[in-house]
Amino acid sequence: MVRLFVRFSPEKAEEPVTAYVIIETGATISILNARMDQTGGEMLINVDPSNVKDVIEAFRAHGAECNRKRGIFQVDEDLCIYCGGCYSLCPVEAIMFEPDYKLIFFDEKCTACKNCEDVCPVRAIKILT
Amino acid sequence: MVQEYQKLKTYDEINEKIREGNIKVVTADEMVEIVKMLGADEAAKEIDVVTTGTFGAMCSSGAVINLGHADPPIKIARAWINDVEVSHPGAAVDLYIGATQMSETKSFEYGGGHIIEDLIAGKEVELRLTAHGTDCYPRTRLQIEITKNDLNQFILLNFRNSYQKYDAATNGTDKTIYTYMGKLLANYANASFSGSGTLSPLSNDPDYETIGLGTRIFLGGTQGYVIGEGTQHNPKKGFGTIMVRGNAKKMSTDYIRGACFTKYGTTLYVGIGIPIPILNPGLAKKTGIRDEDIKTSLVDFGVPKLNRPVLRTVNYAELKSGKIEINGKEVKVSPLSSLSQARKIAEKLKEEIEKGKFFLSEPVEKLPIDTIFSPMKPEKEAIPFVRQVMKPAIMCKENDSIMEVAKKIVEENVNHIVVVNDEEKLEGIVTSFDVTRAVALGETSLENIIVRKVITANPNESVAVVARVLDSYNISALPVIDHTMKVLGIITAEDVSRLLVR
Repeated sequence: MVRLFVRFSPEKAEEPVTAYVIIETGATISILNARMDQTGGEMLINVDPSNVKDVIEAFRAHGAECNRKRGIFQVDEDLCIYCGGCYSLCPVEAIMFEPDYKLIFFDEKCTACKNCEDVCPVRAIKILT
Repeated sequence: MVQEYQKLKTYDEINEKIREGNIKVVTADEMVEIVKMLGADEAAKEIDVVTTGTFGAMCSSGAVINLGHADPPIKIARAWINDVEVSHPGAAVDLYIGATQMSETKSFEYGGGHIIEDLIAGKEVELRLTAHGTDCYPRTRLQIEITKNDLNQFILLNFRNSYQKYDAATNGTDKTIYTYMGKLLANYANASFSGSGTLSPLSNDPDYETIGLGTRIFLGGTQGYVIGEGTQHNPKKGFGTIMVRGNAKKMSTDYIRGACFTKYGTTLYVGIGIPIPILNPGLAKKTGIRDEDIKTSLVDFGVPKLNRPVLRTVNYAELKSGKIEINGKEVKVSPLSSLSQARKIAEKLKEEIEKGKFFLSEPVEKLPIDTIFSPMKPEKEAIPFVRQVMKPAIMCKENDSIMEVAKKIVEENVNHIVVVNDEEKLEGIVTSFDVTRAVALGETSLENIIVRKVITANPNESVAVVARVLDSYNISALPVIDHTMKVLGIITAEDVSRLLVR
């Protein structure tokens, strides 16, 4: 799956943009994380690699920004003590233990739920959206 | 009763082997396999020393520093380092930096543990002192930047470290809670544990045959000592602890780290490794302990009481696997202690012994095996339970009119009407404010103004818990219900505050 980041302005808030995109492209879209406030809305979605181009174009045609998203999950490994406090809070498999009990972090799986951010006792985790 | 084994080796013989460079050392992880393969008798002949390790948040830690005298001198009354108050337990210029003391300006994000880390790292910290001023110590104020090189002594002095084992934690409430066991999601959605299992120092010598006052240990990257049993040492229940000291000037931030647990506070991660000399086959057997053999309780930290309910027994093999089962569901479990660091410490200690840099010491006095740890003496005026303070609830039915409810509010002189069904089971709550607002907005149906998501209390919880719930949800009353949702009464903020002025 490819992770895309969608942003739309407050004026678009009541328009069913995501529904239009799904209908027009026939793509299955998995919404990983979404939020909305007075500055507009943001959404992190997963789409099949074969649909990426169509989905990006469709969102843009409806006036939303849509781009591939990398670098959401940032861990300062110089600070990390491998305590694993974050591990049990991850709803997906973005934080895993290696056999030697070091942690390994997968940015591409992160859903930006931010559950792990405030649990890190040495403040090594930053979730950027 | 500790089984007596014939002594195979002495401390002197072990240290002689270290000196000669033919000592046989393994980590506690490796020892598990060796004992399984050779049996305890043969393993005891083969192996001289087993190294252990742990790296966890150890709140009862701190450091003593001696500043030397200023000119003119000052007899410190209060002191702060980087806005964290540090205590002044002794004569003029000795201070104790407690790991859990929090900054007055950054509170939860910076505390005593971070100061200790910063000093070890060689960073400059700001020291601020106040004093009353005496004939012999005239100064009343002083402010200066210092590093560890400006201190005469900088001694890590931890009064409770390295718990033999610790309860595992989960949370059965419907709200995420932040604890010293980390962030625990609602409805048993995750769990956490502490301690390194098979590598845990005291689990490898559970009868304290080789650990006590004077045992030389790996502490924070240098050599330190056990100086007796730790506070809350509870050997009969398998919750032994140690008190330790070591020269923090020689320590490394690889093994000592300041930390903060969100909404709980600051603490210190401490790296400790204890070498266990294999003096007899009994110690070989004990150090061969497997993660499966070390058991602890899975406890519901959602219940804010001293005696929290135990869900079940878990062993460290389950805990270290990353997932455990709670009520038939598999959930992820966080270690909190760094298992990777624990292993690194055991390896490092092994290397130091092999290189002839670390010698073992026989304790002058072993840790006690028969002391008891008791809870605090009960207060004279104990905080009452909900059942002692609650009042009868004034109730109404869902199909009553707003007018009827308004009448009840006035007649009974209350602010909260509990909505129940025919069996007096809780349906919702209506406040006098809800009724006033309904009138103002022209709302005529009671059903539309009932608050259906109600926070409740149970009759057997402490009023202290109710006070915290009222405060954290910013509400003024809780219906008291039994396990069938039947309404037993109501407890209001007024009832709680009245207790204080009684």
